[in-house]
Amino acid sequence: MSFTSLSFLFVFLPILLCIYYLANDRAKEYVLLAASLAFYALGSLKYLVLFVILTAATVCVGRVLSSASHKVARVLLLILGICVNLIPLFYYKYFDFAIDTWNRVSGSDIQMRNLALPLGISFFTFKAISYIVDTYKETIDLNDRLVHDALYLSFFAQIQSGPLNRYGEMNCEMTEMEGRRYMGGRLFSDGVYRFMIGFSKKILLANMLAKIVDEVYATPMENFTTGYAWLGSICFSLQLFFDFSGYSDMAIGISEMFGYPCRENFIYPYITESVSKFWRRWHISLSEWFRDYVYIPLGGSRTKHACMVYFNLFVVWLLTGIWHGANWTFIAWGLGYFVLISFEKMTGWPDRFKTKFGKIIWRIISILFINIQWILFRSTNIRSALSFVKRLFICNYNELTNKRMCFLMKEYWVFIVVAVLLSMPIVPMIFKKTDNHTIAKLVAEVIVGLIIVFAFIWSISLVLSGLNNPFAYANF
Amino acid sequence: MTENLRMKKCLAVFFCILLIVGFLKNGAYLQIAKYSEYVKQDANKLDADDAITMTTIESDFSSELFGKRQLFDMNGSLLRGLNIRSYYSGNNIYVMDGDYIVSSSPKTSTDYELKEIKDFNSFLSEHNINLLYVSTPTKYLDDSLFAEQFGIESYCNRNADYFLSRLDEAGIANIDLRKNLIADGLDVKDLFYRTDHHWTVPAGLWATKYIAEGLNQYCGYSIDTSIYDKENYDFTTWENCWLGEQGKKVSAAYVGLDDYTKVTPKFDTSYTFSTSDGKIKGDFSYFISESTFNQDKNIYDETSWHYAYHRYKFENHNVKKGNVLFICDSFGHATLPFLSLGVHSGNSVILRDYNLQKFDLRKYIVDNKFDTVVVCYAPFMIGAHDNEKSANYRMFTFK
Repeated sequence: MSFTSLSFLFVFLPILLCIYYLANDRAKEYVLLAASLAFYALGSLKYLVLFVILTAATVCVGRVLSSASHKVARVLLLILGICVNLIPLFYYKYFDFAIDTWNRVSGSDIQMRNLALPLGISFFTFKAISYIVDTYKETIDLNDRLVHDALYLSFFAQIQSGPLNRYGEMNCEMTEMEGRRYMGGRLFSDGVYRFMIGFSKKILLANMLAKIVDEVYATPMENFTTGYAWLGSICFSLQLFFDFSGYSDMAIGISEMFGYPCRENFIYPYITESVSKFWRRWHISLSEWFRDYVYIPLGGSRTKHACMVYFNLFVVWLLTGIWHGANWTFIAWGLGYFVLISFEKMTGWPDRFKTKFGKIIWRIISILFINIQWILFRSTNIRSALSFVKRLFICNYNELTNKRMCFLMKEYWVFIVVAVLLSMPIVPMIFKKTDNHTIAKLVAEVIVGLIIVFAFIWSISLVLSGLNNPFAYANF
Repeated sequence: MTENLRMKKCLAVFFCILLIVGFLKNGAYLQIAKYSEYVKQDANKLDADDAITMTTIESDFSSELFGKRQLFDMNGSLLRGLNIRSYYSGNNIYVMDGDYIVSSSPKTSTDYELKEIKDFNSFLSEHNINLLYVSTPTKYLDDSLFAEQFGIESYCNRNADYFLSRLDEAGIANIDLRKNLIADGLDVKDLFYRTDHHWTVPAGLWATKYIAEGLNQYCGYSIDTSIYDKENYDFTTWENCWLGEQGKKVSAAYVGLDDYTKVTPKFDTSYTFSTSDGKIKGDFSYFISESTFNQDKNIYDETSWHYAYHRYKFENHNVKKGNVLFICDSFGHATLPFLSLGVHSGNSVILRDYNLQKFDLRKYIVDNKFDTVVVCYAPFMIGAHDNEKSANYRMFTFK
């Protein structure tokens, strides 16, 4: 079940909201846990048992770890907790990739398993590891409610593709106030606002742009022109942003509707000043997870030897690439970031630039690089990614454009322009500008509110007419 | 996100009302039973044909959604307003100027089709049965039009050209109705519904005259083709009355409604029809299901008006000669009833509707003593076998 499916919107969500708000405070977390298991069953029935076992095992290890005092026992429990979660991830996500690689290297013919990926396994694993590690480091206090731990790991709003919230952030604001007061309060309204925006971003922008992207990527390379390749790559950069940030908005929105604040995952990443800063704006919860659980434990930037910093960066970006998928394209994609971020670190660019012009140029180079990186991310293999990149710069038969490109631009220009505009902080800017003018602010609120309502209803109608693709990050 | 609380509260109220209305009006509580049925299944058998899937549950729910038609039409209006003509390209639906829906066809070698029809022709020759291949037009006669309008290559007509040239080489009698269309100075758009891939009933009548001429020329028939002259028929037209199969996928607001013309002979006819209810005596009107022409029905739910003409096994008491098997696609609904006016008896089959392991086409032909087999296909049937998932995958499997 997807957040953008109509049965989620008109069946699952209203039933759950109703039961949740009628339940007393002590029962609320049980209601959410049951709903999360139901959501998982509806989305990945085959792996429900595995999911329950993993959740239970992680909570057990975490609880024993929090009460253990012997150092060796604590280390062993830490290793056990991490392994319990990493083994299924490796098995389901990387086993076939390992077999395939081995078959290519050794020339053997070991049969692949063709395993379907359990819903949200990558995100679950990372949340579970952060829970175990934080418990080990005693940076979190486990309360007396086991259900809270289980809910943290399995919360349906975040199980599919994050955000990777931390245990310490999983505090329900609602239990601090009466349900009705809460519902009329800030967080619930914020949640609805985020959900409606996320829903519209996914359906109206990401899925519309996907029409162009899917067509471009399905076109044989010999029919590519430079313009066509640029159109496909730019649209994919925008599609991925609106897809994943749309999902994150919905996830944050749903969490907030149930009283749980959630960390931000995207802050207008395409206005970044550099490649390094891009990752402080894109999938922030993942970047922070790698920073806290890989980079810093390895020594981070405070190492005795300067080259160790680059080794640490290498490990982080290699793992980031592997985490995104069992394919060499993702590994190359991760290593691409390692190279550019290391370059920026080594040269001190663009912070060392004194002129605005230099900073602008570097900003353009960064975006260009990120755009090319997404081609690797989207391609099925490195060879086709390289051919695609080649077409960006080398004309085929001296043709810059082709008819199809013009046609796609003519048809979807509105969506492309809106996507480009909304990838910049225009709406917050408008609200900021009107902050001190009561009437102007009211007008801006009314207009934005009406646009959101209109976009949401149009999105529902688009889902109804078949425009409901899976989330791009659903397979990670 | 704490700012603009006033607006957010209004949105929250709207959202809650929408959820409540959506929940109550859609009988969403009934979905719980479906969910529970789904969850109770054996998780290891979810790939089985009879397994309940979330996709089916979701699509069942969507298909019954409250206000579906209004939402669907709203979407159509917006897409139309934005002049987006290939939004439904995923369904191979492109809208040309004048809200005329067309579809593209990929290039094909025609090898499979040629091999099958040659083999079939050999079998028929062994049994002294004539074979006539009829290529109907599709909604455009020039493939370059597709490239010009949408920047996409379509090989529909080129595939047909190549296949027909290979039929000529193989000595298989064939008629290319596109040539007749050009010779008669007709506009192909006048022969087809705008919102449907089928041709109109008058087009079916027009085509039948040339099929009858083909039977006379290649199969030794002597049909009086003047019976197909327009003057011998009554034409009843309903304007903006129905939505074609493709139109239903894209909404009436997107492409508008279609006209329909019913055609019935002015002269007396007398038939015996073989139906599932047994043998029934009647006239030409028995081919037509008048109940289809009910304009009070919801245009999205009603049966396609194209299928108002049925393909019954018939015996025409006014004609002495000819027992024809008409192997056709759904275009045949607008052709077979008129063809029946010129031959003594006949039947039709659409091969995709048959399980070829249970139905033996060749035995059926011999057992029923057909003297002629007419294969009448639209150009997009050629190459359908390249795609295993195509509904028309078996159309050239004459087994």
